[in-house]
Parts: sequence; C-alpha cells; structure tokens
Amino acid sequence: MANEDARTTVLQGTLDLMILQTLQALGPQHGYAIAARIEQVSNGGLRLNMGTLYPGLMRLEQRGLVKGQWGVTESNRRARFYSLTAAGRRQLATEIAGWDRMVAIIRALAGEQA
Amino acid sequence: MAGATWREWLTRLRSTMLGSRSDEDLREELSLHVELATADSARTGSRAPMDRIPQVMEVLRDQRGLPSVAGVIRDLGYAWRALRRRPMYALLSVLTLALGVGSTTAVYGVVRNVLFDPLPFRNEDDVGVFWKKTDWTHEEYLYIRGYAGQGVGRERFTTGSSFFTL
Repeated sequence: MANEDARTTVLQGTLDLMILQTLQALGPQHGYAIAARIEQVSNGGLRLNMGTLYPGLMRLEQRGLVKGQWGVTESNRRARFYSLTAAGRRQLATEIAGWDRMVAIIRALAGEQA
Repeated sequence: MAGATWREWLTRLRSTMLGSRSDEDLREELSLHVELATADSARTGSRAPMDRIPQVMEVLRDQRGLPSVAGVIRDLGYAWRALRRRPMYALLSVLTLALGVGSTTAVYGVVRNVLFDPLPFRNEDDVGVFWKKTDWTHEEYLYIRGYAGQGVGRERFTTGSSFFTL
C-alpha cells in the first residue's frame, strides 16, 4: 500500500511528461500503446490505469499539447491516436529541463546526507 | 504552462456550449484499451485488468466540459454543512462580509452626496466658496460681493459660521 502511494505521488508531477515523451519517441499512438510502452520502459514498475491515463490525455488535448484523431491500428481496429503538437514539443522540452534541474538538486541533497 | 491552462478552460467552455466528444466516442476508446489489456494479460499470464469503464467515463465527463450545475449545487450543499459544523467561523465570515458591505455603502453614500449629485441651485460651475476662520465683517461681505460681480447667482450668507457662497 505504501508502495502504491509513492507511485501515485510521483505520477502527479510527471504524467504529462511521460505521455509527451512517449509520443515524442514513438510518434502517434493510441492510449493503450502509451501505457504499454511506459510499463515496458519501467520494467513493469509503472502501470498507468485507465482512470489516470485517459483524463490526462484529455487534459493535454484541451491544452493543445497533443491532438487526438481516430485511425486504424495494424490489426485493423478503430483507435484514437494521439500525436504531439508544436506546443506539446515545446512543453516537453521545458518539462524535461525542469525535471533535470530537480534531479540535480535532489542528488546534491542526497549526496550531502551520505 | 499558464497559457496552456487558459486554453484548457476555454476548450472546456466551448465543449459545454457547443458539445464535444460524445459518450460513445469516449466509451469506444476505453473499450479498446480494456480489450487490448485483457488480451495482453492472457498472453503473459498476468492479472487481467478490471473493467472500470463506468468510473473512468465519469471522470472523463467531468474533465470534458465545465463543472455541471449539479456539481455546483453539490458544492453549495457541502459548503452549507461545513459552515454549520463550525458556527464561530461562519459567524466571523458573515460579520466580515457585513462590515465590508456596510462600509462600502457608507463611503459610497458620502461620495454620492459630495461628488456625484448636482448642487441644489442652477449654474453650479459659477459657485464660489469663500473661507475664513472668523466671522465675516459686513465690509468684507460687500467687498467680496463686489469682487464676484453684483447680483451673480443666488447668494447665501450663513451668520455664525464662517463661510458663504455667492
């Protein structure tokens, strides 16, 4: 349970970044592919559930950072594909820079403690 | 991010007014997710995902447009119960509001009389006011009256106080 709490806390600040980064790396993807990719990259450590992922995607779309469009998957299924917009790319760069700064700070603090 | 947030609320306002993705559209997207997740977990033998489509639909409907009237009413009910639970806090809030409204009204009342309402006689632009700490002597009165021009406007001379208008 404590583990799960830690997981959600991390998510709140980084969900946008993870979605945007996944779309940057893979190009347009549907929701499940985004979740599967994040789970795979994190070695199963991070499983986005639907209640987190889809409201997040909708918010990003409303903010003009991603664009959703219905298309067809390789297995010929109708799916909604999300792609990065220009604003989304800019936002991703900003968030990664901010995240790098934060990591450096935390690392410096942790180094001091040890 | 501030600009993006603005845009989110504008989009949500537009969605509320003009309509946006239908429930069917949302449900189809979620169904595919559940289907693919179920297939994947069958293949890997991991735990199958729970079908939480109704709950997620609820969250998406909230995110799609602006907060609903029902939601606002629910919030009002919650606020009312919260105030009932802390009467002193509620009383303090009411007093603060009352003081604010009262003082604004009072100030506005004065401003309206002093600045906004016209003076109770014609040609108010021509009114002159002469001040003096002590009473005016008759000579002074005649002098000022002559200075301002004989017979200009209606004159008021208050005895006992120290000003008059011409």
